[in-house]
Amino acid sequence: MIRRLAAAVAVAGAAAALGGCVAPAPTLSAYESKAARTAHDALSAVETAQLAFTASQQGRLTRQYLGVVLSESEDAFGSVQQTFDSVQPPDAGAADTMRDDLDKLLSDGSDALSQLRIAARRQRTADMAEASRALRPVATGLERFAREHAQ
Amino acid sequence: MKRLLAVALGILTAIGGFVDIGDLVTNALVGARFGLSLAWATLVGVVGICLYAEMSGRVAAVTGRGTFDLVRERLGPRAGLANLVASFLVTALTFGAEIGGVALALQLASDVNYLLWVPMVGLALWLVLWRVKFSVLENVFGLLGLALVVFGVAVWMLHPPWGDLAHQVVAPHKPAGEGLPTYFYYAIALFGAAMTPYEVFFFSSGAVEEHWSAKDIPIARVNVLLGFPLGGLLSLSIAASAALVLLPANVTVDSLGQVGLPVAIAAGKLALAATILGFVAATFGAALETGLSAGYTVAQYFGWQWGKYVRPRQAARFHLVLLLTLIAAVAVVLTTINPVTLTEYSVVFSAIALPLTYLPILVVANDPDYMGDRVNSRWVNALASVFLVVIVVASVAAIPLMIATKAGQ
Repeated sequence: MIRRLAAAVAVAGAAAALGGCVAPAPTLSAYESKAARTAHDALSAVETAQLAFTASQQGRLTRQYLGVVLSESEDAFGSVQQTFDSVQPPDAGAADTMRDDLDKLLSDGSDALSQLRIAARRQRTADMAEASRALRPVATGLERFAREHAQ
Repeated sequence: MKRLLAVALGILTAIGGFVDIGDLVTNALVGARFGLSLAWATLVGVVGICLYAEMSGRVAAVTGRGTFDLVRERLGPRAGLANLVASFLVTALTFGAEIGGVALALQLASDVNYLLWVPMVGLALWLVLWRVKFSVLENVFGLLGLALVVFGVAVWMLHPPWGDLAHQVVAPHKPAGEGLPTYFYYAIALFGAAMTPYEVFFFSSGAVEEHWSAKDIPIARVNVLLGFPLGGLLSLSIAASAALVLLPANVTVDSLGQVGLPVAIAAGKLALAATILGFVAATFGAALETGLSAGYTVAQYFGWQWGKYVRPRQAARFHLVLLLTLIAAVAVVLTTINPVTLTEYSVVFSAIALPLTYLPILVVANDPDYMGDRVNSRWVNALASVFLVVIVVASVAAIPLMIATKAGQ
């Protein structure tokens, strides 16, 4: 009984570890799937920041809560970007185009999210609004990218 | 009148104490991704927890003994040990998740990194567990947890299409773009979050702590049969608020800050303050319950003196287990593992361990040597058997689904 339980615990642990692993993308199709997933996750971080910004503009969010949500969005976005950058693209022109398109969006999004977080912590409303405006085309681009490459 | 107040207090405590970090995160995550199409999993889980919590409370009230004490005696030390190891590990994992949850909630209030809060939360938990009376810690945090009712208020203030929400609940379907394995993976997560094993250990051991006898069974039934379903309603309102605000915005929940956003958007700063208070109370209260449950399971299995109804000196080994588990849980959270990720895994592992928790309770509740004429009725056994099948299916399917979906990605 104890051995069986130990085996079950080991299997569960391995499952948890496997669940969190990111595999390389050897085919164009797999790479496209990962790119679409990346765009989807990055969009989530951008939209969270936009929701928090809008709520704060309407006086519905405390400064502390806004700061935390924006920092977490920036961290989540950075993590998504880093994970995608670490994936080896297949040797195909389409993969390189896809990577360039998404990289541009991720880079712009990362900059705008940092600006939004900095402006929020400095309580500069005008700078926050500017950063939020910069995020809009990023959100639109990520949404379109995720939709076009969804499988 | 005094009895009525005691019943009302019990119900309110059960509602406020129902929601923990697993319910908060899983319901918001699922609501933002699947709308209310998985509400059925929460409802099934609530029926299951009502059934087995009533059973374990009745066993404790009739025998005056803790669950693990009886499980070891009835099923033997080997089966009892398997039950103990699985239950203890899942409870300790949940304990870590709850501590992380308290720290995250305090971060939302203070903008101070949650890792700095973790040791202080650990110290506060130890002090409360050491010094505060059982009835006080149970009632205070349960009642403060009622602040989470703001999620229901937020849903109402968002003026949702009620018919559409009701349709999602009564005619569930897998949203386009989501795979069937992912849909069922999250169904198991919701089920595990609602039926977390520690809730049963805490409920039954609490019955012994408060010296319940057979005459307290009707009150316990009212607490369970009213309090837990209303707590389940609270869980559904968290999912509904996420479905109304986060789902249309393409937001995937991976932080506690996102869970509270719909309330702030719907009802403003005061409601947000209530939300944070509710987060702290729910997670701190659940941390107390999981910590105590970890101590209960080990002490009851080994036959040590346990509980807060005696002085700590008289239950030294129980308090030692509690303290060591607390230190281990704090250490796990301090590894910088994301508490939300820890929570997601804890609810799925809870689902995996469910049969080991609930089967022995069913066996003991049917044993006339322990229960006399208070054994399960025929219809309770029929329902419990159906649930046992559901529990086993969820437990067996959890790991393959976790691998197939890369933990719900």
